[in-house]
Amino acid sequence: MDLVTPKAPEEIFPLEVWGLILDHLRSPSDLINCNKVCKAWRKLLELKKTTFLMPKVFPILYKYLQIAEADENDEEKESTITTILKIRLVSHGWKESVDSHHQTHPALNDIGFDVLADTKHFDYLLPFPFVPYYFDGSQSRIKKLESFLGKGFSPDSNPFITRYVIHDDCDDIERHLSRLQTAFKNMLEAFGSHIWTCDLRFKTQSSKGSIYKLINSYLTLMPNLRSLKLKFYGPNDNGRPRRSKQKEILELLLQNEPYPRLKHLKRLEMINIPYPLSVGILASNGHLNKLSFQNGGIDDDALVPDYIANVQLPSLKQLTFPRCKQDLLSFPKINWPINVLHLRVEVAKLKNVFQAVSSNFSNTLEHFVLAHYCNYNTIESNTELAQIRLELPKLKILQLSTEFELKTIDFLQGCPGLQEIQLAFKVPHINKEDDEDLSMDGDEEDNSGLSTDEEDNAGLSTDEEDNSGLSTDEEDNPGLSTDEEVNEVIQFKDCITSMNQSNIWRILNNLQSIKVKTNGMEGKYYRMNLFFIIWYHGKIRKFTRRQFEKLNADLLRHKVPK
Amino acid sequence: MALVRVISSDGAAFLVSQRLAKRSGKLKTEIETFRKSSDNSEAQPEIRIVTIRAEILRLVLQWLQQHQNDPVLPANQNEQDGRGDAEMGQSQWDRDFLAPMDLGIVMELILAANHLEVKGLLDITCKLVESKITGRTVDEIRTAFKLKSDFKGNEEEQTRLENRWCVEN
Repeated sequence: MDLVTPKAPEEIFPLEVWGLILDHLRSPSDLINCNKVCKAWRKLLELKKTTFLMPKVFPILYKYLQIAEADENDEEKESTITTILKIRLVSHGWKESVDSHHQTHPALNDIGFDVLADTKHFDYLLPFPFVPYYFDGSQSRIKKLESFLGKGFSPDSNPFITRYVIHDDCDDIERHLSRLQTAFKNMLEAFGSHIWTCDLRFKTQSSKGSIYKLINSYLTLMPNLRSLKLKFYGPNDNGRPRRSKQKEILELLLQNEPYPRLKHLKRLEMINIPYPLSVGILASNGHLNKLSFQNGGIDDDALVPDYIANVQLPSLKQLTFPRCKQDLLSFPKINWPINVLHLRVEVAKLKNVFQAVSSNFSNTLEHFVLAHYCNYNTIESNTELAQIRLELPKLKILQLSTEFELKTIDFLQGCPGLQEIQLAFKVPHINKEDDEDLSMDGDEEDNSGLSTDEEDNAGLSTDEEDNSGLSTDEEDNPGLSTDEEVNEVIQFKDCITSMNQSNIWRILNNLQSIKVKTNGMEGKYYRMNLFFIIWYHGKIRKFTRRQFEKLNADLLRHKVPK
Repeated sequence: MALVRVISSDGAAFLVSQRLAKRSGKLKTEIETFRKSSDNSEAQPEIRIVTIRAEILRLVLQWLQQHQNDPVLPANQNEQDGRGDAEMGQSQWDRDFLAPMDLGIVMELILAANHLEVKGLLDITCKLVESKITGRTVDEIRTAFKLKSDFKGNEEEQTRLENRWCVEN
C-alpha cells in the first residue's frame, strides 16, 4: 500500500469501514482530532459531535448551571452538583469532560491572589461545587476514611473527582492521630497514584524526625503529584531546631532518606515548614514552576532564610509571599529567574518594598502583584514616595492594592514596559496647593463628563468645544519637547474620572489599560484604539498610534523645538 | 455603509455591516485592531475566524441580524458567570430559530457565541442544553443527545460508586 501519496479516505477503505473504526474511539480529544482530518470523517462523526464537543462546552455550561441555580432558587430544581454527577454517567466522554474540568481548573494550579477582587486565598477560586476530599483527625472522618477501602473501588479507577485530598491533623485529640495516619497511608497505598493535588497540614507535636519520615512516606505514595501544600500550624517551635543534636539527626535523615523527586510537581506552597524539611523538599524538586513561601520560624524570622534562598530553582517562574511581616529592608538575595511575584506586605513602607523588589527582580519580573497594608508606623508621605522608582524595566503588569493614600504614581517611571496597571487604594484627599503639579490639564468640571465608555469615545472628540478640558494654555501644557518634560510628573489627580487625560499614556508608551479602584468607585481606561488627541504645536491634534509613537520617539531623541 | 468581511474556518466569506459585526465583542475588537494597524482608514477590515465553520458562522450572523436593535449588553456584563442578561428572555423568534437544530449544532453555537462574545446567543443556547439535562434521567439525556453508553466493563458501576462517595464525602 502506498502510504506516501495522499489519498481520499474512500480510496483506502470504504466509508462504512472508516465508520466502524471511528466508532471505536471514545476519547473526546481523539474524536476532535479525527473530526478535523477531512470532510468524510467529519460527516461520519456527525452523530458523535455531542460527545467530543462536551469538553469544550462543559466549562461554559458549568458557569451557566451555577448561576442558574443561584438565580432560580426553585426547590424542585436539581442542584448543580446533582446535574454534574448525572452528566458523568451519560457516557465515557462526558465523564472525562467533567473530571478534566475539575482536575485542571486554573485555581488548582495558581498560587497567588487577585488584589482587586479581594480574594484572600486561592481556595476562594476552587471549582465549586466539588470540594477536596478532606481527611482530618475527627473520629467520624477517620471512620469514613477507614471504611473507604471497603467501598469496592477498583485500584485502576480514580475515586477522587477532583484528584485533590487534604490531610489535616488539626484535631487536638492526639490518640486519634496514629489512626488517621495509618488510614491515610492505606488509602494512598491503594489510590495515591491518582492524586494530583494534596494539602498536608500538621499540628502534631511529634518529633521532627518522625514527621520527616511521615511526610516522606506520604509523598512517595503520590508519584503523580502536581501541586502540594505543606503547612505546620504556628506559632510553635517549628523553626530551626534549637538543639544542635536534633539538627544533626535531621540533616542525617535528609542525606540518607531524601524526599522523593516528584517529576510532575509544578506548584509548592510551604507555610511554617521547619528546617531542614523545607530545604529537603526543594532540593529534590528543583524543577518547580511556582512556589509560595511563608516562614514562621522563631529562630530565624527572615522572609527567606539563606538556607532556602541558596537552593537552586532554575525553573521557578512564580513566587508568592502570602504574608510578609518583615520590613523588607533586608530582603534576601534571590537568584531564581521569576517572572511573576505576589507579595502581601503587612508592615513595610512602600518605598522599602519597591527598593527590595527592584534590587532582586529587575532582570526578569514581568508581573507584580502587591497587597500592601500599612499602620501608623509605616505611613509615609507622598513626597517620600515620589523620590522612589520601581526599577523593573521588563514589568508588563502591575496590580497594587494599598491602604496608603496614594497621590503619586511617579514611581512607575522606572517601568517603561508596563502594559496594564491595576490600582486599589483609599480615596486621595486632595489638597489643591500640594497637588497642583499632579493634576490633569484643564478644568475639572469640564473633564468630569468625559466618559470612559469606548463605545462613544466622548473623550476622543476632536471638537475643541467639547473638550474644553484639554487646554491649549502653554503654562498648563508645557508641551512635548522641553527638557523638563523628560522627567515630568505623571498626572494622577482625579484618577477615577480623568485618567484618560493623564500624560501617563505618553510617558509609559506601551501602556494599554489602567484600572483604578477606590472606596466604592472604579475607573477603567484603555489606550484609545483609534487615535490619540494631544496638544501639539499650539493645537489639539489627532494622531494614529503609529504616528504618535514615532512623534514621541523623535521628540525624545532630537528634542524637537515647539 | 462601512462593511467588514468575516471569513469562516472553511473559507466562506460573509460581508456584513460593521455596525452589526460590532455587536460581537470579539469582532468589535478585531475591527478596532485592524483600524489601529491600518494607515488607510477607508480600508475594509477582513477578519478570519479559524475556529468557526461557515454553517455555524451563518447562524450567528443570522441571530445578530435579528437582534441588531436589542440594547447592547456591556462588554463586561456578568463576565464572572459568562451569562448574558437573563431578563432579556427568549423570543418566539429565538425558539423558532433553535427548534430545528440538532443538539450537536447547538453545542457548536455555544462555542461560537462564547468565542465571538455574543452574550444573548450564549444565554439561549446554554439554556436549551441545560433544559435537556436537568430533570431528566440518564437514559433520557442519552436519547436527547443521540448518545449511546460507551462505558466498558464495570466502568458505569464504578462511576456510580464515585458519585456516591463524592456526595457522602
